[in-house]
Amino acid sequence: MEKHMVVCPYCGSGCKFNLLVENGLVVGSEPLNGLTNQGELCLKGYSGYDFINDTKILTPRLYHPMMRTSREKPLKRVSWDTALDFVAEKLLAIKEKYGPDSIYCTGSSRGTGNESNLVMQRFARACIGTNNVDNCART
Amino acid sequence: MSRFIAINPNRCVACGTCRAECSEGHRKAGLQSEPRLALYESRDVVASLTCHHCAGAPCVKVCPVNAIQHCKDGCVRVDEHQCIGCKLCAVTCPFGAIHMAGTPVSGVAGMEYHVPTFPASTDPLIRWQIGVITAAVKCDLCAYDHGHPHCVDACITNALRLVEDPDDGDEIERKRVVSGYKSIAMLENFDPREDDPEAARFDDSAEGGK
Amino acid sequence: MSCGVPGMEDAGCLFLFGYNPNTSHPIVARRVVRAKEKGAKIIVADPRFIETARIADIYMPLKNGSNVAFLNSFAYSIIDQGLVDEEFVRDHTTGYEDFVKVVERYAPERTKDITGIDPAMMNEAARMYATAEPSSIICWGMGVCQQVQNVEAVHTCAAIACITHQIGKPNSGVAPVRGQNNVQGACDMGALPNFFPGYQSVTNPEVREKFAKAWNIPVDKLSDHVGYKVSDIGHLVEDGKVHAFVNMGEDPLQTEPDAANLKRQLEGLDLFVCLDIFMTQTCAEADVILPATSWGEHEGVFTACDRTFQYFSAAVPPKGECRHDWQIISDLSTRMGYPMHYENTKEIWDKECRELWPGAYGATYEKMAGLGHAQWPIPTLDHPGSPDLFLGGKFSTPDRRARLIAHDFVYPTEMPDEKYPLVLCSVREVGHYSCRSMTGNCEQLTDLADEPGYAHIAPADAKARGIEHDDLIWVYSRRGKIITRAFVDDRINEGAIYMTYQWWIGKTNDLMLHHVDSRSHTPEDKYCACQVERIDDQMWAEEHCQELYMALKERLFKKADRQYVDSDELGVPTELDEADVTPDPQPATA
Repeated sequence: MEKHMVVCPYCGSGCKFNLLVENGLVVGSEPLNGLTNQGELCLKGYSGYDFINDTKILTPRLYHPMMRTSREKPLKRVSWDTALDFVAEKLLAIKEKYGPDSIYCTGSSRGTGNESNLVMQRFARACIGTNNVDNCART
Repeated sequence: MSRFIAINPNRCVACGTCRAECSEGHRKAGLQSEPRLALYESRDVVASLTCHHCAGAPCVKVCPVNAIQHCKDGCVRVDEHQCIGCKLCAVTCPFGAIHMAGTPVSGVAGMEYHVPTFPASTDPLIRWQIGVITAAVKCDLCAYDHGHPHCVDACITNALRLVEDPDDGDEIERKRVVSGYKSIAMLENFDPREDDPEAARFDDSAEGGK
Repeated sequence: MSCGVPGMEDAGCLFLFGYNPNTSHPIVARRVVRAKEKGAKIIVADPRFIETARIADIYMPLKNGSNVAFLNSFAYSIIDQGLVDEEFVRDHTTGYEDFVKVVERYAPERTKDITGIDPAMMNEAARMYATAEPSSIICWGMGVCQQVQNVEAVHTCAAIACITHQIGKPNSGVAPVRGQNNVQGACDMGALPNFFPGYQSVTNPEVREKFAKAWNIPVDKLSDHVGYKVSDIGHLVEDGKVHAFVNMGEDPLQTEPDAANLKRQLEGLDLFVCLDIFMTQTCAEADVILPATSWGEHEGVFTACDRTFQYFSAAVPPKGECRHDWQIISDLSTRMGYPMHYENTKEIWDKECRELWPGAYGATYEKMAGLGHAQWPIPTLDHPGSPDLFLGGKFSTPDRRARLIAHDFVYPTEMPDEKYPLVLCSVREVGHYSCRSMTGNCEQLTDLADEPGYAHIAPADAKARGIEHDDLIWVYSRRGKIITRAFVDDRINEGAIYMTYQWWIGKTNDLMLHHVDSRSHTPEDKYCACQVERIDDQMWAEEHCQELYMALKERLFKKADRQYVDSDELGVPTELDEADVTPDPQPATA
């Protein structure tokens, strides 16, 4: 069994624990003596790991890029290249037509981590040229 | 010897971690996933209540198929496979520590359609679901894990503890009586001293009162 | 927070104002219990008798939506009882006279009809808070922030801490305990329309100069004005101001108020891109879905509510074609003509955070290895980190003095009336998190609590409507009508109901009013008017509820299944597609 140290993704307390991994599946968690949690965890820390394994209880995980070229058409699986080129082209056209402030980006205050927020805000500011970047702090 | 789980209500923060860990442990061991602890919350008190593993456990006496046994390790245990779901134990338990539960296959298994057959407000004693085996569910002190209760380990404030020191029989007996009276008082909101002057002498040093 | 979470247990008084740690942060609630055991006084002000109220020395049942009136009276009471630390006010604050001019109109006797608080209790609590040794902490949560007068209340809380000198020393001050795991981090990292990383203002030309240089672009390419706030996105699309939305890891159709209306508004987008790990209700409306890695599949740094940076590792490799969010965005940027490339998160952290934010320079990955952590401000490599802010009364204003600000009280936007006589307040529950896409897919947590969730209601209000515990009920407001379960609860104040916003069927945000305050644009999720009605046929209601739940799941599963349908010719409809675009049958509503 492997053990990997993580910080809980479920509230601002910042509890540290190990995720227990067997055969590529996360099978349990084990509290660590972190600054805030001191070896304790609440139920979300103890039981909140198996969504990673794609349990399909509420809604399934996403594994492949998908897109639709118009609202009347259904989503289709596409390659990363197709999806990203489509988005890039569309964003450039929208920026051209309506200006950079017509594009909105969000960071995320959830599981993505600080680094993705850093990259997202740089993307909004340096690439698009807008300060339209925010996170779900208010809700 | 008797062992049981005691709670200090002043420390309980009602987070429900004990119930989640209880449920997860039993579920993984192939037993009913229903939590064995009930979280009782009112304006005055909050406590995770569970079986007291009574010395003279009435549930053991009333079970018609002997599915409930007093075990040598000090625990009163239900054999969920033998249980016929007659509810006699649940009715007779003075603490409300036994209830009936059946884990339906469709409950949490993703897309399978759960067809409700009774409103949720139905009394737990008369619930019944087609095709779901109903068994009496109560604390077994995590017998599946060598009698090492998961709730006690999980409690974030150390409000729960396993009482097992066979230090002083009288002490344990005293605590058991007090704990019993306190639970009844909590649940039915009456003062035991009015009914039983004997109980009053235990009151000041009551378990969990400090 | 101006203090650390561990330090809370060493304060002399904890004043919990609109904050319910037991459901939002059990691990913080644990510190409250420990503080109590160490002798701290606990004051709880909350319309609900929350769990901490049970161990509180004073429980103040203020009326819903009366925060600013309450705080003004609290301040009045401090001043009136001579509990102001005049020396601290003189040396470390400005604006005291103007502050007094406002709060002097709020004698507890005058506000008691608004707040519901007995003046004697107000005076006792003010005395307990102001005189506690060695320090007091005001803790608040969304009960302050999701009100129409949120910024106003925060100003007053901070001012109360200042005039009593319960700030600027260890384990003291203000503790807005952040709810989501990395909401502090997202703000720290500049995912805000007004700040670069480290709260460096976008309107400051010197700051823009610095970032333009670091990012290798001409300074005039950086926008010099504050951007829009995400809570306004619906209106911005509707008004034709925003045409494209790149949404990373959020589910606004579950978490934003008046969700049904927001869904309609977002249909006006020219391009809607979602980066997510699950097929959420929001993803289901997107034009492009980019699969990201989940927590557990990527590494990085989170910032806890008390400014503590902590590193987390990846436990399992990415699944399918999933990529890390930062990889997706860098790639997209490169394709748009602005190349960004990083090898790993450490490189991003060092280049984009530590080097551009002086206050975080000392927070290296090495320091955060293992059980290590780094609490900002941490300006140098040998700095130990700062559990406490403003020590010695040195504040982060240009003159290093705290500005004392008070505001007049304003009533909430949508007051109850004859047709909608109850207050609806959106709250949290302990076993589920945010939009529930993560915890709702955890077997154990779903086993303990599943749809449609509960509306907590006072026994008298339930009785008046013939509602019993666990009954399914209708809740409706001017925005919509949903089905949920009644939790008859003697801890609930009469005239209000409390629902958690996690449920996709019992969806609180279909009922909430979308009204944001003018300063922070935070929705008023703690107050709108509603009505509750019993459902006579409970068996029908149980079945109906399940039907709605299954229909929603089926819709999302069907959408997600599209990722397994390969297509070479994008956009050529097949037979399968025809069936797919047919709208789901709408289950009947009674």
